[in-house]
Amino acid sequence: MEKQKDSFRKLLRFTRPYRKRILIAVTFTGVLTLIGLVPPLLIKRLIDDVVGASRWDMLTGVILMLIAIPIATAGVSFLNNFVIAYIGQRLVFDVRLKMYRQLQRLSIRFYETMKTGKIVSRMMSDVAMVQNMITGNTITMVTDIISFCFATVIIFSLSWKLSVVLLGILPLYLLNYKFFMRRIRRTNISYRFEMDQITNTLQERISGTQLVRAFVKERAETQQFLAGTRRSLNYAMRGVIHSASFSTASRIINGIGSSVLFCLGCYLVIRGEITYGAVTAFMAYAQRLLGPALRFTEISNLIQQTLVSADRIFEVLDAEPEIKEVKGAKDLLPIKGYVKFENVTFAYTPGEPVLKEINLEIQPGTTVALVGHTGCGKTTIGNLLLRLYDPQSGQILIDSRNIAEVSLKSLRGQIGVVLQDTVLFNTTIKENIKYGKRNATDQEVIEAAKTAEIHDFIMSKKEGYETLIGEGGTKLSVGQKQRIAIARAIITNPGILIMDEATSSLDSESEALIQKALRKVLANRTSFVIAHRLSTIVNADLIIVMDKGRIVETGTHRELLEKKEGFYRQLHQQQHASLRAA
Amino acid sequence: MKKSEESSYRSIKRLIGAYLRPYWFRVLIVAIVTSMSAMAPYVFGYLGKVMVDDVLQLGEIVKKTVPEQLNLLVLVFFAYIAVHLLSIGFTWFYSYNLAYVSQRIVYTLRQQLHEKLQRLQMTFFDQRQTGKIVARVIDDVDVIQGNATYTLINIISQVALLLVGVVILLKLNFTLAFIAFATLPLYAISYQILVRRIREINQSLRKKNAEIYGLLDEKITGARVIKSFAQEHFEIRKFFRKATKFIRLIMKNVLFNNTLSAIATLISGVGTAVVLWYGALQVKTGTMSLGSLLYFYSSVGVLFSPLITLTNMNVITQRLLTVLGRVFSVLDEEVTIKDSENAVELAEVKGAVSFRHVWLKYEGANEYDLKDINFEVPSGCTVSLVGPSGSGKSSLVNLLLRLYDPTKGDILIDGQSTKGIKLTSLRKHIGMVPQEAILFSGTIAQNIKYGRFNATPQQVINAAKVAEIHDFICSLPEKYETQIGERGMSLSGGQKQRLALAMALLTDPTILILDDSTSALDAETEARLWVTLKKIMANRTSFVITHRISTAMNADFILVLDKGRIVERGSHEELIASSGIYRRLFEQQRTAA
Ligand SMILES: Nc1ncnc2c1ncn2[C@@H]1O[C@H](COP(=O)(O)OP(=O)(O)OP(=O)(O)O)[C@@H](O)[C@H]1O
Ligand SMILES: Nc1ncnc2c1ncn2[C@@H]1O[C@H](COP(=O)(O)OP(=O)(O)OP(=O)(O)O)[C@@H](O)[C@H]1O
Ligand SMILES: [Mg+2]
Ligand SMILES: [Mg+2]
Repeated sequence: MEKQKDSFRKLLRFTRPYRKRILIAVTFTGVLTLIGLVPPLLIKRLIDDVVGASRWDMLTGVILMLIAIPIATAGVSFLNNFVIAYIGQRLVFDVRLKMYRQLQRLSIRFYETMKTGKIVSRMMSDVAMVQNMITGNTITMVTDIISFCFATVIIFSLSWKLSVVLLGILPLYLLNYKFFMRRIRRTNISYRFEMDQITNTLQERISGTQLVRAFVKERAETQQFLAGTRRSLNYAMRGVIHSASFSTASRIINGIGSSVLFCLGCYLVIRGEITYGAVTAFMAYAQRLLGPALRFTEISNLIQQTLVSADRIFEVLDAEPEIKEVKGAKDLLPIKGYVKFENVTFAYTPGEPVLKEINLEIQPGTTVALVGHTGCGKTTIGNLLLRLYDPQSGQILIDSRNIAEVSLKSLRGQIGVVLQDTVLFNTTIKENIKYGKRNATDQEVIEAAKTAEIHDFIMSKKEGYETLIGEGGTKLSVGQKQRIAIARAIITNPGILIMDEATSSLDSESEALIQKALRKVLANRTSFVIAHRLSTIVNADLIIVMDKGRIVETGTHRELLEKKEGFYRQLHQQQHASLRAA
Repeated sequence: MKKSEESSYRSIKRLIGAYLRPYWFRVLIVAIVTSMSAMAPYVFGYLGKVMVDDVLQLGEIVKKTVPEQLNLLVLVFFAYIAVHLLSIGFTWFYSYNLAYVSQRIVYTLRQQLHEKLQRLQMTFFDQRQTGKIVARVIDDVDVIQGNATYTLINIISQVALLLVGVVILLKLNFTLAFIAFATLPLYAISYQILVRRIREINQSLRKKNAEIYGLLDEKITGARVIKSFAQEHFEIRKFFRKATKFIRLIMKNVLFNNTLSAIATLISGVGTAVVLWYGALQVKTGTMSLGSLLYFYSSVGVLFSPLITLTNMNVITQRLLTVLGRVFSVLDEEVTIKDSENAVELAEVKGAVSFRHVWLKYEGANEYDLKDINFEVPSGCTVSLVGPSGSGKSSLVNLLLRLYDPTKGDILIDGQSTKGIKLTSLRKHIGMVPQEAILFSGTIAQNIKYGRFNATPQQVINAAKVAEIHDFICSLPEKYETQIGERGMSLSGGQKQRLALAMALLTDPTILILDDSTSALDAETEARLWVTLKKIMANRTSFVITHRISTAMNADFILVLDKGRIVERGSHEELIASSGIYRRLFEQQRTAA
């Protein structure tokens, strides 16, 4: 509860820039509500005075007012609606932008714990929900309070007897409301939950549709989907039954109640206690009292619901990026390429260290190869160097500066990386290559593509560099994607290059060509090459052999081969035993 | 414009003809009942008139005695209650039935969409974003659920309301009725002027909204790249621009809708006031009773309400039409890869595969991506596919699974053209490990069991052991029940690959395809893996795509692809004896040693 109050307060902070406008909107709304309360009184006048008492001289006045009211209402509400919509949309805009900014600040770990679908629904539906509450319901609340107070006063002045009867009926409404709303809400929640589930699965299955086909799971998937759909529809249907029953019950109360009131009123007219005009006015005001009364019971629930959404929004907004820049972080000067790992220990999940006591010293311009069994932590070393994660202990230095103390942009902007899982965006080849350097000229793009040995392929396409590659690059072969990722990494002319299995899907010939070209482009630059294929690494200046998160050997290819019982030597023999034999 | 109207008309016709028809009787009854219950306000108006003129005798010379009045009052009271109860019953009936029908329609639509998506060829998915496809099945159908039947019924009942209202007004007072109607053209004109803009804006709003969803989706999955390239600011700016455009559109939409509703308030407000004024004068001259005037007044109010409802309905209808068009376009998408009419079920497969002059050209490609592929694989043989990246290796094996169909040529399994085999039966006999591991969020066990959902734990463990991943799994605290995150995010590259391999092995296929499935493994793990794999592959036909000669050389024969053509074929020994690509690759990998 404390936490929710807190998030409510934080939510209100977003409205601060629009305080004046909100004040205007509230004033407008108040005025509108008051104007809206007048017509029943005018009609009463018309019935009782103009017709009833034959005061025909008053007719023009009453009618003129009846004309003036819609004109005023139309004008004011036109302005008011616009202001309200503006505030609401600006709020949505502000919150979404803030969230998106936050998403860009948050570390990879956040994305590992929260699913894509969840983040999207927080940014879209939860924000919409909060906006609805803030603009829609705040305004209704203002109207309701004003209507309720004035209507109460007016009905008592019209006829206290009828008013007492009305107040007697009121609790029935509220009871009915309370009884059903809980049920309706519960089914709604179940429905949403079920739909979320379905949507997430569908999303995954469609992006992995190739697998679904290959394993002949189409029917099973459809069945599962339909089972979910059926469940969700059952909830929806139950919701409909609940809300239909609710409105039926309240209509019954309302129907009988208003019949009783009206006829009782007319009885009083016959008895000469009040006028018929007063009865019509009473009936009109009774509705304006009942509506707000009902909504008041709902308000606490609405607030509750909004707070749930607000909480979920702040789950994103308040998430602390695990990787933060220290205060006053300076930019890393142009990288020379001296890299040092000092006693680095790291675990993705606490207690299960993936890297243990890593010590490394790399001179500028060295090509370092990382080798070792799958899962031994090679990719993790790259992740740490990019500061996608922070080590639990130890530190990493570049050019003798702790990377934890420099600005992230200057660090990552100067390190080029080819990730092990190639991620490309759904746009043109050119845009993808230029990703790390927005202002790259066409010539630079071509140079990078040539170095990555992908230029010829691109030129063989009808649209060349403007070819669209589909979602995640589906229209390319895996090796082509890798080469585009290489071009993307080197176009920034990085001070340090990390190539994580960057050529694993290439034939050794293209690989050799790329290496040769890279050597020229990246002369005197430190680069990390992670590869299983020994041909990729034999030429490295320094080979680091890892096993189960530890460095077990370092040296050049030759040095390592000389170690009799060496790990590397074993690996090497393994790979070449068969080839030798041939 | 003309054309889009025509297609809207067709969408509506289809919705009614194909989806509403099974429930036509229900819908008909609902329409009647709805129209009837919509009439209630008129009846209440009439009862009010009776009350004023006959019971209370306002503005007239009193004719009835008080007891007479009271008797009549009681009568009117019961009439009120009866009408209320009747209309409530009707309302309950139609809201239940309407919901029932729309849920059924939603179910049918979702079912058809999902089945269709499972049948559509890969090219369909290549050209579209996942998020947008999902939006059709979920969001678009939701719109249909919320509005389709409701709109239809509402239009019927509102029109009925309007017509009955017109008749009542005309009967009550001819001149007054004409004054009331005089305001209608004004309304219609302003509506006509604005509605086109509103429709356009609505359409672009929906499109922009989908774009934002798409953008979020892509950028969240690609977070690692954004961070690695320090492009956060660029992305924020991009989002800012998109969101700004969106908010402008929304405000424009608000402006137009607002104008329309202001005009509606104005016209109906002023209209009724004028009616009251003229009516009051008639009461003064005695040509009209007070009760009739009040009855008329309330009926005018009721009459204006369908106008406003119908206007709002138009916006909804526009949205509905857009959505219907999109849903139907998926349903109408041609399935190019499907079972032929007399496709057969293959109970048993020996595994002889032959490609007969197969050509393949992807959409939008300049050149053929596969050219005249022609080869035979006897059952039980292992074939290696070697060649530069982009030479068509993956495409070739995808053809075998019929994920794509060749542009020309034929592929046979056991002498039977794959086009004549039922897709499900064809694919059941083939196990494929895709080049990029596809994993779903869930546990390790769930993923391995994906292709064979009723496998026993022992079978799962065996498959994992063959794939050399069992030891790793056992080192995890939760073993086979470990959650692997979206797309297997918390695994290393090689671990993902081996999981994908285990998944395929568990289905025990006759034909096994490994598309570069050991590229992320170290030599030692790979060697261990091959020892068992070789045993498993001994009596199966297998296709092994690889860049490592050490892997390729063990095959019974090797196909070397270059630029979509088979340029060399033969056993390892034969190929190194000649001087081609293969030999060059071999030399290169050997000297690297
Ligand atoms: N995001 C993560 N969350 C939890 N565990 C992880 C995560 N990423 C990797 N791991 C685990 O950390 C270990 C090291 O992973 P890493 O990706 O560094 O291996 P690798 O040496 O690159 O292997 P490969 O050659 O297969 O790519 C693995 O056991 C892996 O399961
Ligand atoms: N879905 C697709 N749509 C259009 N073109 C495609 C599609 N998939 C592949 N291509 C093109 O077809 C050619 C052959 O691709 P394929 O994936 O078969 O190559 P590959 O031999 O498997 O290469 P790699 O070793 O890099 O995986 C490439 O030029 C590629 O760009
Ligand atoms: Mg790795
Ligand atoms: Mg491939």
